[in-house]
Amino acid sequence: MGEDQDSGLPGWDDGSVFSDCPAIPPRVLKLLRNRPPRAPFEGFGGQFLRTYRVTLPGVALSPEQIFSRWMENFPATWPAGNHFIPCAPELTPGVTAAILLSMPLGMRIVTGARVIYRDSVSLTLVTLLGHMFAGLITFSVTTDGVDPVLQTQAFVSPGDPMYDLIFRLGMGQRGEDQFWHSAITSAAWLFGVQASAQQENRTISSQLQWRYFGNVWYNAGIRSFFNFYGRSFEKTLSRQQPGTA
Amino acid sequence: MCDQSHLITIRQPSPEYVILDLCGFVNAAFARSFESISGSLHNLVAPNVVINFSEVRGMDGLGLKHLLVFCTIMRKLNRKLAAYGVNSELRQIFSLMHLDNLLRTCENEFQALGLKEGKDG
Repeated sequence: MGEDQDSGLPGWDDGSVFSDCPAIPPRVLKLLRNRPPRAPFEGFGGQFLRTYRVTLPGVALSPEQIFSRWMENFPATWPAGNHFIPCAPELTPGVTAAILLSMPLGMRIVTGARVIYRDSVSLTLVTLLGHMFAGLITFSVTTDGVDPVLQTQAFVSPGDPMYDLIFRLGMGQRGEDQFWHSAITSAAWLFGVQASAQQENRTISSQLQWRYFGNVWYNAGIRSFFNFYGRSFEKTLSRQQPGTA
Repeated sequence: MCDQSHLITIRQPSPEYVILDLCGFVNAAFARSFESISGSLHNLVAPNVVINFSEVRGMDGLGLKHLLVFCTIMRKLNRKLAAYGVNSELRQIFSLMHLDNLLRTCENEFQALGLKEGKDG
């Protein structure tokens, strides 16, 4: 898929330790420290593959051009009240990003993800321990033979028993789907296309991973509650020193 | 052996082992092959699945995802997983994603075929 496929494995995160990040407010940053990436099989719940697609009819740009513009505007495509704050101006492999999510009833979740792979038409994030999901989310641009297609594909598992319960009750899935539908249709809007997203769900395994029960200790929802409940992320972010956010 | 006409080739050196030879750059194109192989292995009684990465030139994020989906399905079917031929770059990805928790990495085919006597993958 990438252009340098013959020279080893370009585009991958080298696994370096996440250190400082001036773009992220300290009270957010402290919730990201010592949170290693979590693969899909390191979550507590079953594993699911959820794919969201939007076709861009009539867009004459190449997949590479479309992907580049999508990534340049990636944080702006997130639904209102939610923030994706990367630690570097460009989303390159190894970059950690803070994820600030506004949930119903004043709940706020501060969590993170890390770019583990990027090429000219795709980017893969891995979530950090404490996130609602353990797993990989890949954003890519392909074609359906005629038109370009934006795709977001998540291979994830609810991170701990609490998240698993929320997802079993159907609340988490609905919120997650609404979130990605909104984000990918906003991305389509970058190219002047107003479209709805197509979704495909696949259950890979419904077995619980009891060995990861302890992930609940790092549950980002619980840890964010005391610092951020009912608060505005916009205010928190605006308090950052000018030029650092 | 690896001519790109088949992304994955199945070998069965003994009733207990199945070896999957992966060929080329592991990417989204592998999705269908992994799915087809999963279906085939569902009907085979071989309890051990060995993945040969010797002819793998590289991998992208979607390729990694399809590999993980395949490994998850195999674990669900109670298959023991092992891998060999993993070069240093692939080892970097394996380490990053803690793949040692999912499959056992061996030095060569001989060692991988000793999986039954070795530690459970």
